[in-house]
Amino acid sequence: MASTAAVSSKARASSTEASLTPTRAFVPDPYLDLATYAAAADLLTLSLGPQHPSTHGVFRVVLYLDGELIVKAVPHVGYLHRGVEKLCEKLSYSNVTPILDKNDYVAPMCNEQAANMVFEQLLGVEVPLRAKFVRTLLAELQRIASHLLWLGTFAMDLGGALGGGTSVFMYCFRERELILDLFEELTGCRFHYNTHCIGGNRHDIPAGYPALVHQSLDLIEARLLEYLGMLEHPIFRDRTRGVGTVDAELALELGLTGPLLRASGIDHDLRRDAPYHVYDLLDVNVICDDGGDCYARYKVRLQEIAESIRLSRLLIDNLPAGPICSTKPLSGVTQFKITSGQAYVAIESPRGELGTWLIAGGKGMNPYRMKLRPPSLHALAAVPYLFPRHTLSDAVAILGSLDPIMGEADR
Amino acid sequence: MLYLTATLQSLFSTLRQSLKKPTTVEYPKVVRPRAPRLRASFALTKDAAGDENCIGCKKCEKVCPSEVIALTTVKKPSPITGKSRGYASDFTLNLQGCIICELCVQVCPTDAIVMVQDQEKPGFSREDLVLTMDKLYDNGEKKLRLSWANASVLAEHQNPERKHA
Amino acid sequence: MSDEPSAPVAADGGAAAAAAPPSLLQGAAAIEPGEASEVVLARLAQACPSALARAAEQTSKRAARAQALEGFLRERFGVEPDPSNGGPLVPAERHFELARALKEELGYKLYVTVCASHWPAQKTKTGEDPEHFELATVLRTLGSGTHQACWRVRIAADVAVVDSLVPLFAGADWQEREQFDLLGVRFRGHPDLRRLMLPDEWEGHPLRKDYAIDTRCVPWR
Repeated sequence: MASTAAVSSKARASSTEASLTPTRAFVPDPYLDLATYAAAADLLTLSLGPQHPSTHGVFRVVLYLDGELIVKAVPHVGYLHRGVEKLCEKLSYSNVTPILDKNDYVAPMCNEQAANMVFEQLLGVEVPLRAKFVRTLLAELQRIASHLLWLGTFAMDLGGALGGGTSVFMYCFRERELILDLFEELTGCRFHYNTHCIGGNRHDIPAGYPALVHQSLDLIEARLLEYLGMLEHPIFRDRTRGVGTVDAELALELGLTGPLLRASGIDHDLRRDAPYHVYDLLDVNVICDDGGDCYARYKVRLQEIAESIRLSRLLIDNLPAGPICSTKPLSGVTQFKITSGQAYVAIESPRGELGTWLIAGGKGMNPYRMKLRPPSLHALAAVPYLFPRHTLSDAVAILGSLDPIMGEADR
Repeated sequence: MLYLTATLQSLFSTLRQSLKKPTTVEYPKVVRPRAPRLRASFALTKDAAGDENCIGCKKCEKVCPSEVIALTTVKKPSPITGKSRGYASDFTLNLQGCIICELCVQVCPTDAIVMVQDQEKPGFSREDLVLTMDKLYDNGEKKLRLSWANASVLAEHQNPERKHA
Repeated sequence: MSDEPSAPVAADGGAAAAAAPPSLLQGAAAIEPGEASEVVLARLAQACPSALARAAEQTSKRAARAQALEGFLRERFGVEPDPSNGGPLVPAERHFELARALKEELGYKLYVTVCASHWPAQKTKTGEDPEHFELATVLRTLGSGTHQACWRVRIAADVAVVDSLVPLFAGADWQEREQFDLLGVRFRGHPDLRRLMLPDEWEGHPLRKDYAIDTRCVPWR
């Protein structure tokens, strides 16, 4: 590990360009024609992926390397394309939720919520207050779980699967198990819950749940400090500081949202700025950082975990009484019909703005066209802009910090 | 830079962790407690008199997003009451394609199908994972105590008129 | 997890199980009672004092933006708002002009998404509606009171070309490539229009309505 850092710093020093940190004056041309590159004959073509322990999901980047320096990166997506949007066109509205769970498979609550919110908007259904609280709580717990998974895999990317990397991975997953246990108590499934329905939630908070939530969150909070201690490490800092810098203008142009945008200094969070569920009752602290590099993204996500813990505590302590579903319990596939209308609804998933554009038409039994707006797709579209001028080891760090989930990027 | 202090820092934190109580448990000597609401496999139920609850209405078959349920409806006289009513014959549930979404439980009008907490044991052939009617009613006899909800309980949870303290 | 001694099947099974209905685990179905919503809301208002005021401020900001957008569309483009259908229908030639105006003059700087849909020829009450595509675009303002601007563009099926927004928003690149891939809508001015999700040599555009969902695809070798 020490030698890699030495090589990368040497490569940086020997670069003939002014600086390796991309500034606005220099934006790598993602469509760079390699024939115009000076040392074109010496370029090494390396295919990073689609199976690779450091790519999150099946994602392939073809790298053109000049020595260790990446000159051009061409990403290829679609290895996990399952045709979910076409499949949704033949499912009824109540059936879509369990299938969409599998999109962003790390934060399934968010997919379910985004889909059901757009159905409810077109149907004109109002979700009861208790259901809104439960949905917000589930979204925040899911955010904690997703960021913990990200942290584990990011540290593993930087450390390698065999050696020190898997330690942080295991610790993060140990904490994530606590959250998944909470979800199991509530819905019955640790993953892919199908707990949301049109009009509210299907499962209600069981008796004794708040004590359990507090217990788990106490443990996570205590261990979060441990992670900070473990990762505030010279090697980690050198590998992530100044690496993959995205300045604010580039982030906006690329359509990045979520922690990627906030780490570049733009104060934009749908939970605070376009509140849904009960976020309008909560003071959501939006964490921003000016760095724009991997380290800033790491800091933002870590602090978001702390913020989500605080919000979850607030929510579970203040649960209103009442029904959790405003529509009659599901009695068949023909229960919900939306014959016309189009709408776009977006929520703030752990990765950014997750939205659903729904076009209803025809007989109204199935969505006519359901388009899911994945934040990971834009994160991956940033790869050709971020990889050049970095070395291969930096590329792995950048890809980890972008937090792409191929399930939602490819659908 | 040799990163000497950094390496020592890492080693020290590993040492500290190794002296703590391990998180892992020795499965299967220690079985992790499952949540009461865990849903893993299926069972078909019989009513108090011993008559099959399933009337063969095919709602579960229609609602299943993965289309793993297949059944045929027959009308025949009930062995308990003598009246002619619908029954299901050839009820098969292909557990290999099941996404454990609980929608079949939700829509059942007679609370016939429920989900049980006990997972099916792995098998050596694909047929072992296709739950036939006998297996499902067998689960209903033996494992019903491991289910927490049927359609009525879920409907009660989701009742829009529900009021409770 | 040991099975309880299994009651004899069939004959006696009814009697043993007749004692209790399908037994439910203790506590699984019991619901955590909440408190009255007034109590909860009052307590939250105390814990998060600035939340309600900020939400109200943002709602008014968003409403003001929505009104400004409506006025802008009416004056400059002559289209009426159509919120139940996702947004007004704007003439296809003015698609790029609208996006540029929104980005530079009204501050809709975040590119959100584009969604194309295929409408085969069908008979309506007013006559025959020819086959066409509809492209919906969403942009968003930043920060407090963020507002999303959606509009739709109708593209004739035989031409199936519309201006690309890549010169304005680099994030439109992959979204437009995906719509080209899945629906066959071409984008004029896109620097690199090729398939994104599907392999390059795939034939057909799957999300079109005439593409059967069970079209056989040859396994890749």
